[in-house]
Amino acid sequence: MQLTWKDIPSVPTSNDMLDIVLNRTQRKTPTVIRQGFQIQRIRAFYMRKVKFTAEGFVEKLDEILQKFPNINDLHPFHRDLMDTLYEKNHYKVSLGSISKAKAFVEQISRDYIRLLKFGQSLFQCKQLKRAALGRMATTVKKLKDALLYLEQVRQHIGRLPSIDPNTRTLLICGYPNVGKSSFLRCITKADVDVQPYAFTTKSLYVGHFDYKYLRFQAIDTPGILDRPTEEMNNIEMQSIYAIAHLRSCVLYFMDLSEQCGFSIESQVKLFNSIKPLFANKSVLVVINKTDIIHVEDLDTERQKLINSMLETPGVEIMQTSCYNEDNVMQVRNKACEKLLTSRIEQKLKGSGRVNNVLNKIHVSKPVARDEMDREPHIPEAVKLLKKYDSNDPERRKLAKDIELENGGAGVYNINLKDKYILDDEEWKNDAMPEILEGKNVYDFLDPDIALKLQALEEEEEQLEREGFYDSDNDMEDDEQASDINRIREKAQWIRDKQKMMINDARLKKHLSNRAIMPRSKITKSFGDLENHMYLVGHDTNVLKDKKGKSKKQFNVKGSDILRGSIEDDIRSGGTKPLNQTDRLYDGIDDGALRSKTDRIVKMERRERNRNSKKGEADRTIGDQMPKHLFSGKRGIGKTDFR
Amino acid sequence: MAARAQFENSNEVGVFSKLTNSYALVAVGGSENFYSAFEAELGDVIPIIHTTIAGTRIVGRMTAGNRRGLLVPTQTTDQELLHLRNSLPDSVKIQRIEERLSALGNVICCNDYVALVHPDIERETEEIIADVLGVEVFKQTIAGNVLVGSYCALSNQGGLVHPQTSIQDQEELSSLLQVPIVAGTVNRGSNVVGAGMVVNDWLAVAGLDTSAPELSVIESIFRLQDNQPDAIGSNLRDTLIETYS
Amino acid sequence: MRIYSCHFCSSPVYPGHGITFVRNDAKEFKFCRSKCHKNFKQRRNPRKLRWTKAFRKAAGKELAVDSTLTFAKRRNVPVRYNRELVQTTLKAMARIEEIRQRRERAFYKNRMRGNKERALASDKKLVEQNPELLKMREVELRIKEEKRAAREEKKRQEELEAEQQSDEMEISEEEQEEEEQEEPQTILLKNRRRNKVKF
Repeated sequence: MQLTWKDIPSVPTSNDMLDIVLNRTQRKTPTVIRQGFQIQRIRAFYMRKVKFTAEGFVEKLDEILQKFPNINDLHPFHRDLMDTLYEKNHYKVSLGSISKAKAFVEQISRDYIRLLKFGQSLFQCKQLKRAALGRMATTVKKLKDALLYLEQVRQHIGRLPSIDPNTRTLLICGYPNVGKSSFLRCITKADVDVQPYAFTTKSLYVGHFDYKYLRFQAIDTPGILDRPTEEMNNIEMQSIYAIAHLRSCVLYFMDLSEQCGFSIESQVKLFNSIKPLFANKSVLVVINKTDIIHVEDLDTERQKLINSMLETPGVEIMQTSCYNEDNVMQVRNKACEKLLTSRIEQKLKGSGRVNNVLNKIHVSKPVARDEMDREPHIPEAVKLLKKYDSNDPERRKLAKDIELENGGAGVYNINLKDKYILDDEEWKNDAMPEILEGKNVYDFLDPDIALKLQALEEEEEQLEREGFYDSDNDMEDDEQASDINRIREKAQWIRDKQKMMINDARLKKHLSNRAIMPRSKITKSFGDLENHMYLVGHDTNVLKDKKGKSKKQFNVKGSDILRGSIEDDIRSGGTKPLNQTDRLYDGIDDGALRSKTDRIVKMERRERNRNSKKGEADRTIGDQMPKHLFSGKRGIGKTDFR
Repeated sequence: MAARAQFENSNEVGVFSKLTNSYALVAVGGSENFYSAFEAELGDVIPIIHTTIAGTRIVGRMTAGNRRGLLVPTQTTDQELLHLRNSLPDSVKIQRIEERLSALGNVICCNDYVALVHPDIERETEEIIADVLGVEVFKQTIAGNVLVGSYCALSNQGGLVHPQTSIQDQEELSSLLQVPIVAGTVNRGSNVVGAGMVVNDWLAVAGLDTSAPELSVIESIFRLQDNQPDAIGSNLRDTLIETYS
Repeated sequence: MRIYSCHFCSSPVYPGHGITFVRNDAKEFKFCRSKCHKNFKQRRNPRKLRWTKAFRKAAGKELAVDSTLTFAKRRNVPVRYNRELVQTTLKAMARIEEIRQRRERAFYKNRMRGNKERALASDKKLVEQNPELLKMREVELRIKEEKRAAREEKKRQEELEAEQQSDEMEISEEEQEEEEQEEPQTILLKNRRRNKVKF
């Protein structure tokens, strides 16, 4: 729950707010508009202005609404405190008016934007905008009083002390001028104004102190006069509300010396009249100013009067003097103790949460399970050790001090090797190799390494003696060696050949989409056969003879001889028609004409080749936009390959 | 003596340091402030050693040890191991453990006589712990939590366990460990008591955030400066009820 | 700093090299290069890949059991620094390495013993089994020999020719004839083309 309201932003006056918002509209929205623009654009221009202004107002007002506390959500103590201080109704009305203004501004903006949608001209739109802004401004101007009031509230509320209504609290109350503030000064560090006149303290003051490792707050309240609550002023009401709402231990202060200006009787009377507020609270009546007068010094009637206060259950009386600081701490401790016991009683009643605590206050004691003695181990030196005190000039020098002397953190580097416990001081800063010839030195670091090495050396010697390292060099004579070499060569050749044969066979088998030529259609010439046989190592002379005989004799005709191609034809063994002419050169003379023809032919072909035509008759026009390259979506991959 | 300290703005003192009756390990930090917090309290009584474990600063969580020995995880480099050996006296055995659960500080919680270990720890490791640290080893959980080292701070004179440990569990632990046990928090309500503080028989160091009631519980349960564990049930009772509920 | 050995191939992994894989049971696997890492990711067994140390050791191809190999091991119990100890250790390391290498060599020799005989026997067998191939080889060798002879002959001729040309410009009749006889084929081809054209 929020206890302080220090972060409420300042509330501007209505005029300031107008300036701020309108100025912002002017700065943050476009300003140039012309007659000739499209009507859509003109409408949008003014709609934007209206919307922006409305947003500005709403934002400002919303901030106020959000940040000021909602009086109904507060703790009763704070609610009542604020009621007395700021008048609850006034506060509510102010916030209500702001909320209403916010709604109204929103309404105006909505209405005028709707109108602007149908604006017909620049002038009309402008008038609508003016009207909208004007109405908003009027709305905000009407908030003048509310804003002024809220600004004052803000200034005051930020200075309220942070009072936690649920924590451990000592509440100091009593007549004015009985020494409440001086008591607070005595027990806490709070710097409260103490003056010798009534109503020095006009509001609540808070101080803190520790007792039993716990933090307590002590609240100093303004003095109360004994009169009906309806007649009490705001200052007194603060005290009353504090007493009424805070779970606390109430310290009711009394002044027997009557220096405060109130008689003992009236003080007792006040106690009795505010008694109903002490229900369910621990109350301690503190009789102050014992430096002047003690209870024992009073006459019996008055003593009886004072003792009559004890009749109320749970009330105790203690005496103190804040002036002499006599018995102050006892009073404080007594009050704290009373408060704690009452709080703990209350807590123990609600068993839900206290179960969580039980194990934290329960110390399990061990049950001895064997005879073993498990002593703590505390070196003697600990008892002799002087307690370190940072203010002692003779104090021990710490690593921190050394660091500071050497340039401070980040500059100074500690030497980790400084505190090594080694056999020889000189070894401290030795740099030890970690890796040697690809081996980790740490893996070999063994106290028995020398012995083990010794054993290894002996083993080595033994092996050497046994001839473990003697290499058997099998030297053969040259004769044998050359023989072996020959066999090896042959074997090597055979292996290569076999490999090649396998490879060839595989190649033959490997069709790769080619048609198989039927064996019967494969023509093998006699020469091939002969050649193969020769390579395989047969004598081919017999075959040659045979060939000569079986060959069909070519009858040489006269014309053949005439043309002079006889040897040629015989050689190729073909049966060509005899008078076949070379059409390319038919009718062209050898020499200049022929070379010219050649050139022409070449030139003729060049253009054709360039266009990838098959021949003179090829009139195809290639596909200008190949379908596969110009259709479908383009995914990954290149344009050419899709 | 109970002290408050902070390691580079972190309250988890037990993470960055290890304290036993015969040595203290402290992480290498940016400055010497943390180290000096130990130095001021311990003086020259026991060696205080700057170290890293496996190149990290979480030395308290990586290692386990007591007066007789120190166990480091398998990730510890040879250099760190040698550094520790060189810095510690011979009376302290050091051993590197090949264990799957490598944050030994989280899985082992020991004083000079007894050790609680994670239930999943390997058999060989258990034997090594018993051997090197000279302790009885018990597989145990604290408040249903297997990380016994994180949730328990232990010395020869007392033990502080996870705040949600039931009273029955406390009794069981106390009879196992043979020291008084109490449930509590450190560092203003942190339940990782093992990681939030370090303790030996005469000194406890907790995080800087540790509140006064927490510190007083620590002093009482570990019998620091002649405090008695009984104080928790009597003097501190009201304070504790006030703070915890 | 530490030199780790590759989990897969057992080669040394120097600082700044390789990659480490930490399995969720906290076991670390160091790999010397991406090859080993990839093979590991494919769940291959290093004992079944011939290029790894694990295979070679398992197959008896390398020294696996030896006293020199017992010296290096990960030490979990540290020893206090001692200058003398470190010195002896460093010396010992060098000596151990020397001995290990020597034994490694002896081991290799021992492993390779008898290989020559075995190879010779298989060669002999091959030669006996393939006489027909050997015949082919003979032809091949003969052709090669002939070719070589022809080439040499030609070379010799050319040299001789060049000598003669440089010495005296006139060419004897005999030689000219010889030349003509040597290249009947080429001339014939030329003649043919010419003949046809003339038609």
